[in-house]
Amino acid sequence: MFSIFICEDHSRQREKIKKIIQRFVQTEECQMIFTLDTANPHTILAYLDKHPNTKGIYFLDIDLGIKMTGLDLGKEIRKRDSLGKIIILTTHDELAITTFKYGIEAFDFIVKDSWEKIKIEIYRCLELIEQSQYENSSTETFIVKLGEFREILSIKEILYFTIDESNTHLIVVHSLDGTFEFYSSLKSVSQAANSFEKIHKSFVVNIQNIKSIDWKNKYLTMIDGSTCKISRDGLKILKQYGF
Amino acid sequence: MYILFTALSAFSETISFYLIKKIRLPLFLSFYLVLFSSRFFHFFNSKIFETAISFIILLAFSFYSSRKLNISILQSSSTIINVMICGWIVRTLYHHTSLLSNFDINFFLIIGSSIELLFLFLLIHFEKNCYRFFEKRFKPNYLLNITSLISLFLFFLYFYHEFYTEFFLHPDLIIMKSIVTSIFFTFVILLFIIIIITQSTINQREKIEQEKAQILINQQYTKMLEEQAREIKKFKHDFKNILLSLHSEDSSIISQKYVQDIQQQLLEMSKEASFFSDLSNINNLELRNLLYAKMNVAIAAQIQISLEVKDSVIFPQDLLLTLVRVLGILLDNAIEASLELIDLQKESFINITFVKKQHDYQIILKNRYTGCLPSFSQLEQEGFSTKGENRGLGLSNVKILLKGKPILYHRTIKNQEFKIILTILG
Repeated sequence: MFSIFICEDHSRQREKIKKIIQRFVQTEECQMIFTLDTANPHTILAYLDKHPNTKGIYFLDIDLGIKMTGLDLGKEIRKRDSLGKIIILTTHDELAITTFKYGIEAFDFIVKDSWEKIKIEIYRCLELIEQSQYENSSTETFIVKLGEFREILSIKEILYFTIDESNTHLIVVHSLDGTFEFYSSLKSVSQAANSFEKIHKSFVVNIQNIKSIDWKNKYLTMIDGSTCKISRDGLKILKQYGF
Repeated sequence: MYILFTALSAFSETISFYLIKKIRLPLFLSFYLVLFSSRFFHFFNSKIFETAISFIILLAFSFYSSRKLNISILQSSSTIINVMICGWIVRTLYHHTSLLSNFDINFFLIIGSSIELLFLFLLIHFEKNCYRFFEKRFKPNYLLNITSLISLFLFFLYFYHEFYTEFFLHPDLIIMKSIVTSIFFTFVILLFIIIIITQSTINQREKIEQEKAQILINQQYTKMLEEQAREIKKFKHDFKNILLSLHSEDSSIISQKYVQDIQQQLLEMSKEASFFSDLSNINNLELRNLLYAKMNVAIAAQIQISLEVKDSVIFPQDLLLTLVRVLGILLDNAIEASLELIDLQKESFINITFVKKQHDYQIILKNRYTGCLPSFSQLEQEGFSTKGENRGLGLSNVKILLKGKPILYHRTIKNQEFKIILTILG
C-alpha cells in the first residue's frame, strides 16, 4: 500500500494537484491512498518519523519558498523511506534532472506547463508505479553501495566481477554498459544472486551471460567477448551447471 | 679476517642506505666499493675519521641523486645512526649475555653481522612506518626538515661521543678538551641556525608563490563575476523592452501567438542568465575556474552544455589536484566528442552535475558522441583515441590519477551517451 504525499507552497496549485490525485485513487482500483498535502516539509518528515514503515509516493515542489528546498526534503525522505517514489514538480528553468536522479533517486519529473499536461503526467507516473509493483523486481537487481550513494544494476546486464589490481577490497563489475567500482569482497558478491559463481580466486561470473568455455585452457568467454580465467574448482562448479 | 670484517661493516652501511633510499644496482655496487676501500686501506687510523668520511660519502651520493639538502642530510645521518644503533645492540648482546659469547670469534662475526642486518631491517621498517604515520598529520616539507634536523643532531652527538672517547681519555689532552668541545658545539649550533634560516626563506618564497597563484585565480573570478553582471544587465534591459512592447499595444489585440513568443524569449533569456549561477556553489576556486574555463570553450563552440550544482560543494585540499586534473581530461574528451557532432550538424550535449549526500559526493559527466566507440578496455589503453595516435592519453591517465584515492570510477556507454560518475567518499 502506497501513501501519497504532496509538498507544494502555492496553495492553489496544491489543491489542484490534490484533486487530480484523489480522482486517480478513487477511480482506479489501486493500492494507493492519499495521505496528506502540506506547504510545510516538516509535516511530512514528522509523519514519517511517527510511521516508520511507510511506503510513500511523494510529489515535491523544488522551490518551497523557505530555506529548505525540495532537494533537501528529498534527501531527508530518503533517509526514512529508501524505497519511496519521489516525483519532482518544477518549472522549466529550475529543472536539474541529473541532480535529482543521483541525489535522491527521483522517480520522475513533472514540468509545470499547463494543467492539461500536468494531469497526464501525474496519471502516467502513478500508473507506472502501480505496474512496477506487480513485477517483483527486487530479485532481478543488484544494488551497489557507494558510501551514501547506491547504484542499481540489472542482474541480466552483469557479466562478471573482478578484483582491482592495486586494491583487493575494490571490486570491479563489468556489465554490458560499462564498468563500476565498489568496496566489497568477491565472496559476498557471489552470494548476492543465484547466477553468480566464483570460478577463480579473482573472478565471479554471471552464469547467465557465458558464451563459451575453453575447458582445455581453462578460460571462458562472456557474451561481449571478454574472457575470465577458471580455476580447477571453478571447472567443477561450471560442470554442475551442465556446460 | 680483517677483510671480512670491513666488507661486512661496509655492507651493512650500504644496505641500510639502500633501505632508506632505493638505488639502482650499479650505484649500489659502486657505493659499496667506495665505502669498502675507504675502510680497507685504512686511510685514517681512527674511528671518527672513518665515520666522518662515510658520512660525507653518503651525503654526496644522496645529494647527487635527490638534489635536496634536507633529504640528503636525513638519509645520510639516519643511515649512520641506524648502523650505530644496530652495532651497539649486537655488541651488548655479545658482552652482556652468554648468548653470543660462546661462539668462536670468526663464527660470531658472521652470526653477529646477520643479527645486525636483521635489526637494521626491522629498525628502518619501523622508522618508515612512523614517518608515514606522521606524514598524514604534518605538512610534508615541515616534517622532513624536523626529522632531518633531529637525525643530524643525533649524528653529531654520536660523533662527539666518538671523538671524546678517542681523544680525551688520554690524560695529556685534558686542556684541549674544553676548547675542542666548545668549538664543536659552536659549529653545530651555527649549522643549525644556517639550516633554519635557509628553510624559512624557502618557506617564505613558497608562500609568496602561493599567494601569487591565489591572486591570479581571484582575478579570473572577478572577471567571471563582471561578465555575469553584464549578462544580468542585458537580461534586465531585454525584459523591460518586452514589458514596454506589451504596454504599447492595445491589450485586446495581443494575440495568443505573441504571448507564446514572449514566453519562449523569456525562457531563453533566463536560461542564459542562469548559465553560470550554479558555479557559485562550488567552493574550491581552482575547480570553479576550471569549470568556468571549459564551459566558456564549449559555449564558444556552440555546444549545448549545462551545469547542475544544487548543493554547496567543497572538496578536501588533498583530493583537489586529482579532481581538477581528472575533470580537465574528461571535459576535454567531452568537448572533443561534441565538436565531432557539430561537424556532422548533429545535436551535441554535455551535462556536468555535482551531488552531495552527507559527506560523500558524486560528479556525473554525460555527453553524447557519434559513431562507434570500442569497449572501455580499449578506450583506456595508453594512446588510444578515435582520432589516431597520440591523442588519447586521456582515459588511461584518469585511471592512473585515481589510483589509491578514495574515488570510485564508473563509466558506461548506452544509447550514444557516454557517462562517467566519480564517487568521492568523504
